[in-house]
Amino acid sequence: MVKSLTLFISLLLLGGYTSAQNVDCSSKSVQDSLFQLYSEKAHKYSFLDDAWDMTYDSLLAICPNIAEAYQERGHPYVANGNYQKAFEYNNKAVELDPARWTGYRGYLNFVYTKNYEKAVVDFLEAERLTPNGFIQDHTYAFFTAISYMELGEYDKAETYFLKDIAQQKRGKGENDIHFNSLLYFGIMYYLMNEFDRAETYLRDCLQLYEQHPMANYYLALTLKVTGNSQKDIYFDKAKQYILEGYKINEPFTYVSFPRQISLYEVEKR
Amino acid sequence: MDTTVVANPKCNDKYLIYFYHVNTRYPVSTQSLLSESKAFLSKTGQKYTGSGYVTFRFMINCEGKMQRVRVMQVDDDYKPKHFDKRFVSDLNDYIHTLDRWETGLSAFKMENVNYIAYLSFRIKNGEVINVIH
Repeated sequence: MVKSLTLFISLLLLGGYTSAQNVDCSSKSVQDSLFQLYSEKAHKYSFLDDAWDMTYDSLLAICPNIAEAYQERGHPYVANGNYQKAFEYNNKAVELDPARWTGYRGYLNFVYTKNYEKAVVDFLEAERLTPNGFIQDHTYAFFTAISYMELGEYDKAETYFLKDIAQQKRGKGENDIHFNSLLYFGIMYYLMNEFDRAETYLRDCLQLYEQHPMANYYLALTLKVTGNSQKDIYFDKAKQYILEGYKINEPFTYVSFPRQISLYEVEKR
Repeated sequence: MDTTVVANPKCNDKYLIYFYHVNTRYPVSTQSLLSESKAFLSKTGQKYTGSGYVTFRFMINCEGKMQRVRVMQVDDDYKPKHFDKRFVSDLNDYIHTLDRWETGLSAFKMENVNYIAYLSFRIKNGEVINVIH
């Protein structure tokens, strides 16, 4: 069966669309095999190359119901800030396979367009479809929490930060919490003028990642507000670690994370 | 809006290079750009309207000069939209005040490359509420 499927797909690739009239696009195994073959072909090129687009367009001409192909087709537009096209393709992916792609679209709304209202809707739906799911190294609750924080809905943000931490602790409860969960929880308390709690979470973050430039910076800001002379130590550390190349350590994105800082802000103090 | 490009003999423009090829973005945070852009717009004395995104894509040449500006506009649902021309023009004036672009960058064994970057303004009821870069 596998051999005959491989042969059939090979013929498809050689013969093009006219040979593809009888492809069973409703079969998940056919979809997966086709996607793998065309994706390997597309990834031989840069996503900026027309060949990238043409490869996925060819695949979608054969089977217009392969969700992953729409997500890949949208990638160049995500990278280059074309929101209209980026979401046209990713909306189609969600429509075809919501359990798999709703969380990813939430991430696009969260980081690429900072549309926190839409991000919350997507992450809540993703949580409903795939409870306790993760995207880009974090729980859906993590992104939901930051989105609520950016919307100024701190009570909801707090609920979701706690959910994120609880989810990471599940099992024996011995796992380290992701340092950026602690970072953003601390930033939220800073924004709420709850400086003792902000300091606690930011120091906890630094216990796990001492060179975190943002944790050092936001701790310095917190100490500055509370009149603690240690603030300069942490401004200096933030500057030093930025210059040494330390970063927020999130998976690669083409744009900044919320409240990400640069040397410019650190030097202004 | 200046959509032209003036070739600079010092710059390498053999291939299209994007900001991610040279691992750069404007070296100021979103929060700072937001504050600065709001202050800039408030000085115009204009009252703006509309919600959505105005995105400027442009080339930064090897000496940090912005050229070949293109603008994309969508609403909050990422559908095409046109903001008031004066609003877009004022945002365009603002991005031309940015003078900290990294220069003298190298990519694909070429030195002093020009690169393409973008800045996007998220707008709610005529007010810039986020800058994305």
